[in-house]
Amino acid sequence: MLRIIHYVNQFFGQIGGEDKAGAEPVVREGAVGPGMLIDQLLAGQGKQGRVVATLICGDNYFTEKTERAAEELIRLIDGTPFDVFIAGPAFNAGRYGIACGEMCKQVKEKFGVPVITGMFHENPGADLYKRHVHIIATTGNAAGMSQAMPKMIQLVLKMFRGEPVGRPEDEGYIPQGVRANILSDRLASERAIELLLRKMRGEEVPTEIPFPSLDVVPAAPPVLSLAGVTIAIVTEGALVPIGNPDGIESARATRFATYSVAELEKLGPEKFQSIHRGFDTTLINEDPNRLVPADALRELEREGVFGKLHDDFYVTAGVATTMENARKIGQGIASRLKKAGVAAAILTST
Amino acid sequence: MLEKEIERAGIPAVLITALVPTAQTLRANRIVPGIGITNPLGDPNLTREEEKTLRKKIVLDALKTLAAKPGKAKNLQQGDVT
Repeated sequence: MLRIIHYVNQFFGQIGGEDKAGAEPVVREGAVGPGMLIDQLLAGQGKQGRVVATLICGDNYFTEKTERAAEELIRLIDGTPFDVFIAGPAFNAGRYGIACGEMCKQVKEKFGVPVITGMFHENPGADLYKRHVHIIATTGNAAGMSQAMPKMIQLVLKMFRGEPVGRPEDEGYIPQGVRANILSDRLASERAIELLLRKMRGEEVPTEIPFPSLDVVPAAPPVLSLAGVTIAIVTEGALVPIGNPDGIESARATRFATYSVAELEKLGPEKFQSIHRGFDTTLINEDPNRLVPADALRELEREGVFGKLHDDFYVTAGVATTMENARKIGQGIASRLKKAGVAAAILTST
Repeated sequence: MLEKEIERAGIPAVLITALVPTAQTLRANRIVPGIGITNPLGDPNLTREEEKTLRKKIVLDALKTLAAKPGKAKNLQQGDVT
């Protein structure tokens, strides 16, 4: 008989509302709240299975001290034999979503059982955990419970039986960003022409690869005058001191480094090199100013064209960088520039 | 991407790159064409002196872009200012 452990928050666990968001972890025998739907659905399918225990925890309690909460919750079920773990669904509740995601992740790691949860795609927990655990895409609120729960059960049963998990669109879970190669029976050239003809006929054109949505950032207002402003250089060409003392990644960057041009008239090839793996660095290594134009800026600074060349320049490697990391690195650099009172930045890219 | 994050923080930023169409696709706001992929601000066909002069010109274009309202970047040639 399939033994399920279910995790819910204080609201679905019938302890209370927002006022009880600080509720400490407890375990109850059998199903509580939506867990009863799990029992019903399984019985309705003639399956042998039920919720043997329900974990309940306040959303604030969990998200304020996640490590401690998760530990306590895991301990509560440590002696209970079970086969699968279901959390939520959390719909669009952010703290609940994070709790469900984290609990699924930890239960999967510690107990090695199939885990499943459900969230609205905008739930912050979705982005955080979609790569770690399967999250069924739900509606924005609990009105979608009757659609979500059956899909969650179906997928977790599949995993329990050891069957391969299908594509997100078939199973109903939030895409995990996994790319699997499929062999098509038609050449790419044929498929491309077909899409083009569809487009010309004004028909729907189902793209094979979704284009990432790119946000438009309104341009920052220009500096009113170059006189007196501090300008900083930022480069994605991975220019570092010879030997790369800070171990900056040469591809798939997750961070940036800061180096000094203070007192320097230009950057010397005996001091700097590019460790970027995406282009031939020969020319840059001959003369680093071809990437980080410290010499040109220093001269223009002397001539009074602008105020001051910022002492630090910021470096990362812009090859195979994930959009997410590029954003994080960008935000990190932006925050340093702000703190340093830099008025504007020149970015150089290969 | 870096350019956008810096602009998002309210600091005008200009990107010097040889890959102008890529920068435009990613919706960078201020773009100044660089010379080459392996040498955004250098040209091995010139003497070092000539290179420095060219580099200063491109950097000056970049500085002017920081002080100017961004317009729509179309068909940028090297030496154009966005």
